[in-house]
Amino acid sequence: MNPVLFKELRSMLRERRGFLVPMIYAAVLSATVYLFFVSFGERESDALGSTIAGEVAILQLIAIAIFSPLVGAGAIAGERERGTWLPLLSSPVARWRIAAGKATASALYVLLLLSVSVPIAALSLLFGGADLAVLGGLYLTHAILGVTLALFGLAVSTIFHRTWTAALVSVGGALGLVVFTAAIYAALGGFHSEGGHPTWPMYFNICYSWMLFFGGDHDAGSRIGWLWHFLALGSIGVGSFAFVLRRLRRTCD
Amino acid sequence: MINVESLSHSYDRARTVLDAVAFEVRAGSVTGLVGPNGAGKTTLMRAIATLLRPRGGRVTVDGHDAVREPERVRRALGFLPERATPYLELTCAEHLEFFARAAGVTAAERAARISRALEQAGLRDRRDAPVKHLSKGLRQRLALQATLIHGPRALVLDEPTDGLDPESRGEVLASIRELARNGRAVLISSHVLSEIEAVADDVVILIDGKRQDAAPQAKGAPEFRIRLRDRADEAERMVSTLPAVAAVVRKNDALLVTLAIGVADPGDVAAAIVRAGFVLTTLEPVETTLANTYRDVVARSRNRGNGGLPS
Repeated sequence: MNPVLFKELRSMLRERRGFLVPMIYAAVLSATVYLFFVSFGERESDALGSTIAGEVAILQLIAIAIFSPLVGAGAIAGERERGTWLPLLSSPVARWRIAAGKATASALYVLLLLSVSVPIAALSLLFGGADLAVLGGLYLTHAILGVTLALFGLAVSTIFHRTWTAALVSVGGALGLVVFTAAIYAALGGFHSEGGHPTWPMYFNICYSWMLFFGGDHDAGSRIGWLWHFLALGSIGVGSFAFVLRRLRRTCD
Repeated sequence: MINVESLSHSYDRARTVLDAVAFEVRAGSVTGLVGPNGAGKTTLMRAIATLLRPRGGRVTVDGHDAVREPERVRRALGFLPERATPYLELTCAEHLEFFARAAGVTAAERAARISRALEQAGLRDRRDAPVKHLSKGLRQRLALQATLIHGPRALVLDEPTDGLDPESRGEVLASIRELARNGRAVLISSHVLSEIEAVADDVVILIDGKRQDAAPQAKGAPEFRIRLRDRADEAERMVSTLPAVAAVVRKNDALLVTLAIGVADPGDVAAAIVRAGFVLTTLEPVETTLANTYRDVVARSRNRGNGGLPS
């Protein structure tokens, strides 16, 4: 096993934030579902099931958009801040193993965060109104998005010496991507009701999954949209990891 | 073992951080690296440790080029950066285990090396204690042992005693001497000159990125303080031309004169001063210490207009 990955997981789960963040996320999600449950009262359970699925989709995306870049952002900048980075870089461990260990640990933490909401999301199946394929698609999309944003945070982390700066820039970058791609989409006439406009800017938008989920369109065109969305996110993730590798090979402090 | 050849580096075009620095650290010896803040010591050490790519020159460690074979250099070298901290969330044994795994030490050998390192750091009874509960001195000793866990043949230690109490300093310096006795090449930097003097076999003085020539003093050439009644600046110019003099530095009305190698008696210098019409009031030997040497080198460098202030 990669020693950096082993060390990262050990450290992450020993730090207070390692278990506090999933706990707080689960508490917020549970409280919101409970409020929906109470407010629905006598109404039909189908509507409750689809509402829970939608609510999980929204809260999960917000949590992923904020916490995934943060997890990556602390991985290298945090080591610099604590004075552990140079001993690690000057040790005989290969630079690609450092990059791979940090990236895998960040990705696994994001997946842990996602898995916390599984029992709550499963309630939507219990009440009906959401099917397994839709929920599976939701988790797959958010997993790809979370890992991508964690890698983006890791790339930002190689540049800055302060965790807070890296955190602000990476979360800001993730949110900036939403605004920037939506602005290009709008400039190309994308928000007008007539069709025929290019949708490619939105493939890079982290909220694109909402358009697909809540658009209610599950035809072949929508499936191609999913595919392009995954490819676009994947390209950001791969590009970020390549950037991390390049920075570590070059070196430095 | 550690060879630095014409090493040059600059972070931007405006300022050269290292200017054609050259020296060698032999196996079984300790070389001290001293200089004012900003002299380029940390940059030099990072270039040796493959943490930055120098703009010119070459560094080899155990025959491996630091730019072309960085991974081999990192296997041959242990680097303890300034203000290095062990992983606070791990235990002492886990911290050492991480660096042993990172270096590819086999599982069979790992346990023995970790036990030995804990023993040498004085942490045998605190094997499973979290690093965050250790004192600063113990953390530094643990960091030093982590640097040694893969059995490097050369060591680069940047201010290893920084922030330690006198007892811990003594222990760290004693372990450094011991490492050299065991055949390792050690390069150590410190702002505490008495520490360098106590532990080092050779000294490299770096000022404004240039290695300063301190050879006559460092090799124990005799040094004298000559006091004159007046015209010390004229006398300095005259004395500096004498063949028996290796170096001269003026301090107020006194001249600090270092005799050339092979010249033991300052009589010829005193006679030349008197013959030139100066009134010599005192001539006394100066005990040569690294602090004196360093002070003179900095003063000479400042007189030439390229000196930095000693810290």
